[in-house]
Amino acid sequence: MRVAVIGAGVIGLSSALCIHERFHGLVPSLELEIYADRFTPHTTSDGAAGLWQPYLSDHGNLQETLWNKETFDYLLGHLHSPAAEEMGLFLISGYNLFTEPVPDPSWKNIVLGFRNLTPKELELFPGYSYGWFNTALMLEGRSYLPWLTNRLTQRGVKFFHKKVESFQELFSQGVDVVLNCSGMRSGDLQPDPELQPGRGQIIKVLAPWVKHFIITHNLKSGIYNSPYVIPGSKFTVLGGIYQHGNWSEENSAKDHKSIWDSCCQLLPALQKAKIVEEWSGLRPARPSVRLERESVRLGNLQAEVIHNYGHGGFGITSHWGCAMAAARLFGSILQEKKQLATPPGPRL
Amino acid sequence: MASPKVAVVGAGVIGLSTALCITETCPSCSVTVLSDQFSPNTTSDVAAGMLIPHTYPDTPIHRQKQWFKETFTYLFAISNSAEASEAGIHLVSGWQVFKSTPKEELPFWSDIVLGFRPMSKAELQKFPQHRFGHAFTTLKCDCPPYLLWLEKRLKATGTQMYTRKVADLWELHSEYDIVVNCTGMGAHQLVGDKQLFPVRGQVLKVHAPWVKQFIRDGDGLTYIYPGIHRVTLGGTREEGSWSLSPDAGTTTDIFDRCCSLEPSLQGAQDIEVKVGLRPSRHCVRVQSEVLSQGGVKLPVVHNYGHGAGGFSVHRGTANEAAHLVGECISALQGSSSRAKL
Repeated sequence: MRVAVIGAGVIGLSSALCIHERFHGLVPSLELEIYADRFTPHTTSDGAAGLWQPYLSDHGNLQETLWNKETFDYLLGHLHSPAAEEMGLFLISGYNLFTEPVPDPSWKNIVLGFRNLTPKELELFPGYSYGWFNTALMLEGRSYLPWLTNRLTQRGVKFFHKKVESFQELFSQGVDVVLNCSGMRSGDLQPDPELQPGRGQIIKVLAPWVKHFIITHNLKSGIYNSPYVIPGSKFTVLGGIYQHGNWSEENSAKDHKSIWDSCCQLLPALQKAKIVEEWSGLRPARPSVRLERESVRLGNLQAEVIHNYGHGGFGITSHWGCAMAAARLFGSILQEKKQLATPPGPRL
Repeated sequence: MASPKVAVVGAGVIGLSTALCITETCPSCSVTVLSDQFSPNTTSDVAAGMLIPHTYPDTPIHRQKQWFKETFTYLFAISNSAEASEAGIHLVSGWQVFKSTPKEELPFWSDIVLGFRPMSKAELQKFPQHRFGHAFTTLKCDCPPYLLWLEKRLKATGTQMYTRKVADLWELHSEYDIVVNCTGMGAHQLVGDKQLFPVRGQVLKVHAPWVKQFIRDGDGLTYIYPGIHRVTLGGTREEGSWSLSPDAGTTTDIFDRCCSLEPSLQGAQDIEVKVGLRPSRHCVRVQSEVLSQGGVKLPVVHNYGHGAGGFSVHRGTANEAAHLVGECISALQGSSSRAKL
């Protein structure tokens, strides 16, 4: 049973790991391969700050809220494990700021210690009159992806540095199931007009005195189009750009100025911070995550694709819940192919 | 008295902040700081600098609260300015956890720190040995940066600073009109204060930049305080111990206790061990006194004995000491004008 995963960002690697963990013991013939043209530190996941936080509203997409919760709980469970540092996993508290009262988010009971900001706290942020404080998690891509890669390599999963041009290409080589975790470039494999870039740009600075994340919201401009500051273990990420439909991965001087000025206004102490790096990336945005099976007929063979892409700006936030869902879909494929007597369970 | 000459003895957080307050309240004063140690070799440099007050048994609570409030307000403004990183002042959130529910519901300072509330059940799950806790956000003064920033502010006002060991306050009477005694533990010898006693603290300063939150055991013995570059792990409270030498067994014990609160500290690097003697007293001595010897008078303002709470109340006590200096100057000016008559 040959399974090929396309994409080596957080979605591809975690889906691969989840599937291998659950099925390698049950399916002795399982061979897992990962194909990607970009590996860490050059994936979209590497550019993300790594803060676990969903969007403000799930737009009724309860499935995504559940995946987010499963991811948070999974990571929280790993917090005290010796692997946490290597994974780039740690707790972090911080602020979400608004210019007007807003309803509580779907994730208020998932994070720890969620509460509204007090008037004294709001004094820190002139221009903002309402906000939240909570403790969440950081999962830094630059550590997590190498950690996932090591776990996969230890398990004998093979990596191929290659741009896959079509699902067909893999099926004709004898692959039985393809996991499409190709993020932004899924459209190259199968057109999907719903998948659009949500371009972001960030400035990485040295500001180790910043111990909280600060995310501002401008309900008119939309998510991540308002300044945010996210301290990592080495660098602090400054951002606040979300440009729908912009495919450019080049840094823009105009966006740089907008990020720098707005973040320094938010946190005057940043004026003294040293700029270390600048990066642009494309959030693979979609009205909802595409996480589903697709059967593809090839002559008299039936090939299976499991799609797992379109996580926008919440890939890290939802990755493990999605990986488990992808693994469940894989389990049902195995059952149909009679590779498994019954699906392992009750809960994957 | 055109330009009263004030000597501040001591260059830890108390000496430097008191000197600065004096320059602010009495711009005509000429202030000189004298100390045998300056940053990074003061007791203040060993401390983490967390704004979590110590309760002095014999100082009225309202006075301690006032000191803390003034200090917090002062530092809060700096933390929110462009000078924050240079001054070493930053906000930090975290938890104080208790193995058994504390007697007092709310500490006196709960409405001064930010967002103070009891921890939720979910938050307490991170601390299986603890049953109760408080979550809040407070400020931290990193040293040396904060002391160096105070020194810089002082130099800008024209304040001179000299390395000098003062063995007797009377040494200063011919050069200075008023002496301010901010000698911390040194006051035991310098003014013979037997109510002052050391409480030895050993700490580890480690590299663990993923630790963004403080954790403190309500017993005050085990704590994890993340600073700008290093995390301070503590600690000990050894009353009556004068030893400034690090103890290896204590180092292991501190490390183990902190790792049980925060397991990821196992990965901490670059462990540095430091020892400081908290200059402890049942009440902080902020008081003026006129020393007298052979017909000569020497006004002295004392500001020492802050023990475990120096950073938390430093600005408040510095303000009070500066006010006392102002009173001494008025008294001196009063008597000199009487002398003229």
